Amino acid sequence: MDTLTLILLTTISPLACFIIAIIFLVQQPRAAQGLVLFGSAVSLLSAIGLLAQGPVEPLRFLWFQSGAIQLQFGFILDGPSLMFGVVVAFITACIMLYSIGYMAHDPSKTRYFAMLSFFAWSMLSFVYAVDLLQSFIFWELVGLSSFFLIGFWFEKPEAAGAARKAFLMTRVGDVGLFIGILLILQLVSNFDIPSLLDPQTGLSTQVSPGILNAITLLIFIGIMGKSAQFPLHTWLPDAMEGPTPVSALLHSATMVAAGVFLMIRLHPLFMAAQDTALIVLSIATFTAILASTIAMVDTDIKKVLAYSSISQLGFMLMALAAGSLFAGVFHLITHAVFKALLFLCSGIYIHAYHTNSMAEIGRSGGRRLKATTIGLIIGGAALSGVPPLAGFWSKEEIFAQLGHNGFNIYMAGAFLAAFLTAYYTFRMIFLITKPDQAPASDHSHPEPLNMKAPVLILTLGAIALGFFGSNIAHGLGLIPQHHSVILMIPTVGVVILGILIAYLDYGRDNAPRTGFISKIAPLNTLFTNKWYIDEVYRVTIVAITHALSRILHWIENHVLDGNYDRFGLGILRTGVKSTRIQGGWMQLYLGWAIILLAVVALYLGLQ
Amino acid sequence: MENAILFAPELICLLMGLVLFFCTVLNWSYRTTRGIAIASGIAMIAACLWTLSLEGEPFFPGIYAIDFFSQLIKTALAVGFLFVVIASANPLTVDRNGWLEVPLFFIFSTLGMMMMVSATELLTLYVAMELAAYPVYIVVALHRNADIGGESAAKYTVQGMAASAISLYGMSFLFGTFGSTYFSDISIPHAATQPIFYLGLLLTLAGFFFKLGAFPFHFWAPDTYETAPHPVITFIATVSKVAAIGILCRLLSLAMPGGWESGHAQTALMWASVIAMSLGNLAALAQKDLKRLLGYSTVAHAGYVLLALQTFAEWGLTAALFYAIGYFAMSFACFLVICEIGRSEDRITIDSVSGLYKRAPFLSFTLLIGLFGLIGLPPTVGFVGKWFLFSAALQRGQFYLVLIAAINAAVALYYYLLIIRQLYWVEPATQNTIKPTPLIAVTAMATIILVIAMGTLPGPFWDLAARAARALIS
Repeated sequence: MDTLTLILLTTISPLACFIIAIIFLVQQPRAAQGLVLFGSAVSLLSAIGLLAQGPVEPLRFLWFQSGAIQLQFGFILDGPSLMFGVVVAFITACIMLYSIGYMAHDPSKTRYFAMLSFFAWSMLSFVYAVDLLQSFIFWELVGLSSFFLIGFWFEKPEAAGAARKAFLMTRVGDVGLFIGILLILQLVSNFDIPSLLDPQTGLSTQVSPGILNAITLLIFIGIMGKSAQFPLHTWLPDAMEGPTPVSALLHSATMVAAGVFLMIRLHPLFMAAQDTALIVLSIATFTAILASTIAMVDTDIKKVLAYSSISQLGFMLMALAAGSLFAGVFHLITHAVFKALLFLCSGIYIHAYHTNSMAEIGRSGGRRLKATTIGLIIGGAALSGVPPLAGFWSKEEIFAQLGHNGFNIYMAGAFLAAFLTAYYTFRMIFLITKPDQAPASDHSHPEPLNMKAPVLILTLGAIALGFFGSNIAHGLGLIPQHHSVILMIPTVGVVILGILIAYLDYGRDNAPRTGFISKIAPLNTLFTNKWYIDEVYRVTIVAITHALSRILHWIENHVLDGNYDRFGLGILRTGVKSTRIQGGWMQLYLGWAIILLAVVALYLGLQ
Repeated sequence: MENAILFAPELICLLMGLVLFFCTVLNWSYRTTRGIAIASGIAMIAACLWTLSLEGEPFFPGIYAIDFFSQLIKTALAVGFLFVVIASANPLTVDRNGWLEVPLFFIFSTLGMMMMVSATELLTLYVAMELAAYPVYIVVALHRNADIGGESAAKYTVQGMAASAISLYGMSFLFGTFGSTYFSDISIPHAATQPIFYLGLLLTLAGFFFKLGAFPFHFWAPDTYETAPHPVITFIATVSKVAAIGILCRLLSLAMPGGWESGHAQTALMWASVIAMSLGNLAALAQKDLKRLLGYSTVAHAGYVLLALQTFAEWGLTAALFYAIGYFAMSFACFLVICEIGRSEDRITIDSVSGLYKRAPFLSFTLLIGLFGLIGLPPTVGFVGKWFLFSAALQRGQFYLVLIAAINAAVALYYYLLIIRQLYWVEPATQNTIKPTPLIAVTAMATIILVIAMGTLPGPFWDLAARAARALIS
C-alpha cells in the first residue's frame, strides 16, 4: 500500500471507530468494544507498515491560504514520528485489550472505549502533524480527551475535580505555547515544521537569539504543563482518579508524552536557544528529584507510579536539553513500555483487592498473582535501571550525554534521582511481595487472560527493548556511540545502593518497614506533604483568584449587570418599536417604498 | 443542435413542466407527481453540470447568454428545486386540491429564474422575471385556510406587481438613455456616468430587491413568511434568493466600471444595506413566530449581501455569489425542519420547537446547524461567507460600515440563540416523536455537509464563485 493510504488508515481508523461507536453503539457495548479494538489493530498494523517503509518526504495538503500565510494539514514521516507512532498505537492496543477485563462490569463501556479511540486519534495525529497549528489543535484534543477519561467516573466528585484540575493546569501551559506559536506566525509567517527547523533557512536563522529564547521558553511552558514538570506538575497525581488503564495510557504513550514529543519535534530550535536549554535542564533535574522524594514516602501504588512518571519525564527532558535527541527518544520509548506495564500490574492488584495501598495489597496476598508480580518486578527493575533491562540502557545514554557535555551539577542531580528511583521502586516491590504478616486466606481469583496477555507482552518488551538502542539511533539518522564499561559503573552503583537500602528498610526479615527518611523528621514531613506545593497554590494563586473574582462579582452585580440589562432591553424595545412600521397596511408599505425611491431620484437629480 | 445543448437545462425544465402539467390533468397521485418532480430535478442538475463550462448565445444572439455565471446559478437553482420538492413530502398546509399543482408551479418558477440569470436584454429579463413570479403568486394563495391564503397572497402579489412595475419604469429610463435594451450597449463605461443611468438602474433593481427582500421592498417578507404554506415559503426563502442575488450581480456588474467612483448608486445601495440589516435584526428580536422571525432574518441577510455588492468590485461580486450558495444551504436547513415539524401546524411559534431534540434529535441538529450558519459561527459557511462579505467592504476602506454589520451580527445572536435554547433546554410540550423519511434524512445530511464543507474548505467554492464573477465582468 502506498504511504498516503497507510497514514490515513493509521490516523483515521480510531476516529471512525469513535464516531460509529458513540453515535450508533451506545446500547451495544460489546460491539463497540470489538469495533474499537479492531480499529486500534488496523491503526497499529498500518503504523508498523509505515515504519517498515522507512522515512519519506512529508505529505502536505493546503487547508487554506490567507495572504502569505499558508495553513496546511499533513503528515511528517521521519524517524521520531514513525517510531513513536508505532509505540502509541501499540500501547493503546495493549491497553484496550486489557480494558476488556478491567471495565467488564462498567455500565458506560461504550463511552469508555469510544473515548479511548478518540484519545488514540488525537495523539497519533499530533505525532504525525506537519504543521505547527495542526500540532496545536491535536495537542489540545489530547488534553480534552484526557479530561474526558480522567473524569470518566464523573459522578465521583474527586474524579470530576481531578479532571478539571488536569485540564486547567495544562491550559495554563497551553497559553504559553499558544503565544509562542503566534510569535512564530508574526515573525516568519510560517507554520511548516520541517522548514522552521531547517538549519540554513529556518527560524533560528531568521530571528535574534533573544527572540528565539523567548519563543522556545514559551513553548516550554506548554511542555511543562503537558509533561507535568515543576511547577505545573500537581495535576498528574490527582489524575489517578481515572480508571487505571487510562492512567497507564496517560502516563506512558499519550498525554504526558505529548510534551516530550513536542520538544523532540522542535529539538533543533531548543538547541539553538542555549539559555532556554539551560532553563529546561535545571527545571527537569529539579523535577526529577522532587518527584522521586515524594514517591519514596507515598503509600498509594498509583500515586507512587504517578510521581515516578513525573521524575522520568524529567529525565527525558534533561537528555533533550543536554543535547541528545537519541537519549530522549530512547528513554521516551522504553519508559512508555515499562510504565504501561507497571500501571497495568497495579490495575490487576487494585481490581483483585480493591485497595490502592501497597501494604494492603501485600497483606492481601498480592504475590500470589504470579504473572502480575513477575511483571511488576521486571517493570520495576527496568524503571530503576537494573541492567540489562530496557530502562538501564536508555538511562545510561542520558548519563553519558550529561557527562559528555560537562553538566556536572546536573549529572549529580540525575544520580540522586536515579538512586531515589531505585529506592522507591524496590520499596514498592518489597511492600507487595514481602508483607509484614502472612495473608489470611486465599480469596483472590487469578487474573483473566485478556488482562494477563498485555502484561506478558509488555514484560517481554521491558526486557528486550533496551537492546534495540542502535536501531532507534539509526531510525533517527544518528550513529550510535558505544560507551565504555567504566562509565556504567557509577550508574549501576547508585542503582544497587538504592535497592540495598530499600531491602534494609523493607525487604529483609524483621525490617523496620519505615523509610530511612523518617529519621529526618523535617524532610519526611516535607515529602509526605508533597513539598506543600498544593498548599502554596491554595494560599497564593487560588486565594488571589478568589479575591479577584469576589471584586469582579461585586462590580458585576452593582455596576455592570443593571446597565447591561438596561442596554439590552433598550435594544429589544427598539426592536419592538421598529415592528410598528409593519402594521399590515399594504398601502403604507408601498407608500414607503415609493417615497424613498422618490427621495433617491431627487438626490440624484440635484447632483 | 448546439443551441439545444446550450439550452438543455431550460429545455428539460420546460418539458418536465409539461409532463407535470399532464400529471395534474390526469389527476395522478401526489406521490407519483412528486416522484416525477424529483426525477426532473435530478435531470436538471445533470444538464446544468453538463453545460457548466459551455459558453454561447443560443437561438437569439445578444439577448440570451450562456456563461459560467449563468450555469453555476442554474445548477444551484436546480439543486434548490430538487431539495424543495423533497421537503414538500407532506404539503399539509396547502389546500388539499392544490397539492398536485405545487411541483408544477415550482418548476415553472424555476424555469423563469433560470432564464432570468441568462437574460442579457431588458425585456427578456422582465418577461423571465414575471415567469418566475406568477407561479409563486398562485401557490402562496393555496393555503388550506382560504382566509390566510388570501391575506398572504394579496400582500405578496400586490407588492410584487408594484415592484415589477417600478422595474419596468426603470428599464424605460435605461432604454431612454442608451437607445437600446441590450446589456452590451448599456454597459458602455463612458455613458455610465450620467445620473439618469443610475436612476434607471436603481429603479430597475426594485423588482429584484423585492425578490431578495431587501429594503425598501422587504415589507412583504415577514407577513408572507408567516402565513404562506411551509413548502411554498421554503421555495421563496431558498431558491428565489439564489436567483435574486444572481441577477443583482448581473445588473450591478453593468455599472462596475464607474459605480464606485461616481458614488450615487453606491451611496443609495449602502444605505439600503445598513437600513435592511439594522431593521431586519431589530425587528426579529421581538418575534415569536418562527417563520416571521426568519422573514426578518432574511431582510437582515439581504443587507449583508448588499454590503458586498455596493463595493462594485470583483471581490464583492464573488463574495455575494459565494454567500448566495451558502445562504441557500443554511436557510434550507432551517426550512426543511419547519416543513417537517409543521406538517399539521399552520403557525410555527418558538414554542413549537421546544425540546425538539427529544422528539427528533436529527432534525433538531439540522436546525441547529442552520441557525449556527445564520449566526455566522465557525465552522459553518455562515462564518466564512460573512467574512468574505465584510472583507469586500473592508477592501474599500469602509471600516464603519463593517462595524455596523458586526454589531448587527451580535444583535442577531440573541434571537437565534433563543431558538436554540428552546430546542435543547426547554422540555417538550408533547412527546410525539417526528421521524423523518430516509429521503428527507439524506437531504438534511447533504445540507449539513454543504454548510460545514463550505465553512471548512471554502477554497473550491470560492474558486467557482470567482470564476462566475469573472464571467460577469468580462
